Amino acid sequence: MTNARKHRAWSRFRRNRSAVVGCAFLVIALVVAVLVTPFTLSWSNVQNLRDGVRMSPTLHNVTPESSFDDALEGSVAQKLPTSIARLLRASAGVMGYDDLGRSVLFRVMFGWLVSLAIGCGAAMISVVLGVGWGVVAAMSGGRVDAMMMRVVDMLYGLPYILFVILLKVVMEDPLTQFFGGRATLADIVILFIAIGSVSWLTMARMVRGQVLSQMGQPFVEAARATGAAPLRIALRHIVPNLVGPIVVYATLIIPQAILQESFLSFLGIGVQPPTPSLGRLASDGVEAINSFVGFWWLIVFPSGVLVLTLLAMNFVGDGLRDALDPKSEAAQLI
Amino acid sequence: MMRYTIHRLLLAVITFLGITLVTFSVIQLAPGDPIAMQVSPELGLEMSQHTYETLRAHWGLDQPISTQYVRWLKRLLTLDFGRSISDHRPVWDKIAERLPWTIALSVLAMGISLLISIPTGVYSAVRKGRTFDTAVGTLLFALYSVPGYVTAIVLITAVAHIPIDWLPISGVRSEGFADLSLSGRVVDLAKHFLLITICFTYPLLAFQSRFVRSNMLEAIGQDYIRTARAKGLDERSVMLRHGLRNTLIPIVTLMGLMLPSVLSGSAILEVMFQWPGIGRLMFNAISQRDYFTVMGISSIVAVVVLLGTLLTDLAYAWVDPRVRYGG
Repeated sequence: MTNARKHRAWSRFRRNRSAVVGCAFLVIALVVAVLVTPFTLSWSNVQNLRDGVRMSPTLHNVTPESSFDDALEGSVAQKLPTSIARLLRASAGVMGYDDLGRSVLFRVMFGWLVSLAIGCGAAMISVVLGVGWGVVAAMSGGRVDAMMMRVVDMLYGLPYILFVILLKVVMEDPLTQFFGGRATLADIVILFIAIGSVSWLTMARMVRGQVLSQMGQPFVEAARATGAAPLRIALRHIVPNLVGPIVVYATLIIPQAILQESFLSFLGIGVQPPTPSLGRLASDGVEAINSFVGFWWLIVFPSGVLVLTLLAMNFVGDGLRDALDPKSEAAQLI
Repeated sequence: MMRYTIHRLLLAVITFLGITLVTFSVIQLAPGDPIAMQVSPELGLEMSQHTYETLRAHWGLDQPISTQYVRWLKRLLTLDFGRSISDHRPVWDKIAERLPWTIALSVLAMGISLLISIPTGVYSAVRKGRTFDTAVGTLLFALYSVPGYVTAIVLITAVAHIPIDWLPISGVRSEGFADLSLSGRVVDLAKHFLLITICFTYPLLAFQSRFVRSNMLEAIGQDYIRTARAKGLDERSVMLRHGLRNTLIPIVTLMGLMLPSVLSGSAILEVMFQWPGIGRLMFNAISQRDYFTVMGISSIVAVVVLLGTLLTDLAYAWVDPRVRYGG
């Protein structure tokens, strides 16, 4: 993209108030997450079975400080300024405690990052797969194109839950071994591969259509006349023109992937406990509500954060769409 | 046109075979065994090796996957989906008793959302940038970001805790449904439909209104609208007769594209509201590794998806002859 176009796009984006607010929200949340994750990584699992079980939101932290300190033993968080640790510890109770006496605030903070990681990972995979597949299909044309698009059709018709379950089950052990037994990490990677490998299909279709329409343009013919190889035409002339729709589409995949992860966790096939994710937390909250009376904070906070995040992301995606490509196909298919 | 139709039909059949083959292998490769899942070791029940082998042979599970798939296909030719491994009932019956509930829900949700989204979308487009457009746009966008199941959680908890006795939160019928009068039955059904329909409809509504609005905006920008205005038509008929009419084609296409996701996408709501639909059946069948039920449902969903795509393609080719030679 040329500088002038970038500049125009940026000024269009800036004028969209909701997109800017959404963007600011995400940036602030991300900065906070980076600061607190070294702590929440271990603190989200600190239990207080003595007097924290299902305690409603309170301004006082009920978990003894020593258990927090013990949990940090040997982690990088010990090297960080103690003021963050003190502030966090003091606010441990503001979102209440869950059925094992764990701080809901810490779980939501860490779960947010897990959900975000899955969303971004899935979007990355679907960009790489979808763009690659779409470009290759469109450039090859003929029988190869037909075959490749048939594969996309086929995957489209598959029951998606089935596919995710299988990918998860098949990759569970090898990946856990690969990450040296760190099940949490393996879990997240599996989920984003599974979700990513299902959500690249629309991207592939969109990219193929765009490439086909670009191929008819005079500048592609000109490039071909100068003797440029197909690969060079694809990489230097066609794909750069598609950056707009691809970026827009990718930003819309992230909230979709987060939503899908929360579905899967809700159905019990997402991230495995004790790792939190926004969907996992909400579903835990629902279980608590079904059997006892009114632990509203177990549901309201995770779902609220989920909704706010999705809203901010959709606003940003919408703003980017208006800014980057005001008149594309992607503009109609959210 | 004939040639094109046959070509597309053949492609659809090949795609169908591909889908079923992949599904068949996927479910069989997934760990867990439908026979072993019949008994629950935690209850102290166990199955002898002999019984286990006999049952596997009975369901044909001892054969290689390729043989099993061919056998399944042969049965499919006579429209026989086989029996469910978990409760031995014919898969057809299981699907047939669930399908109407899912279809009823989908049609109701799609219908309501169309009824609301077309007027709002059109009006927003006509009043682009005015208060109505921004307000409704923001509201719908906010709604679009609230997952249906989150709303379901809120509604279910609300009904359970602020005792609203008359509003049921699970199933489709109350006890003693058979004894009710006709009007009583209608009211009872309506009550059961209420909450799940709300949760199912509003995400569709948010999506569709935006779709209608953007398509309407595009139509309004066309030359024929200027022509219609130049003829001296009043604004109302310009918008409705010339603008809206041209927006209807993409809307119909969208309906076709959304049908499969609407049919299969309701699984989570069906589970939450104990709705006896196809999504919950699928979810249970997958967790019990009930191969034949899974295959039956995915075949039906695949046929619906392919039929939707096929009909859309054919309609396009019929309207625009260039498509027939291009693809």
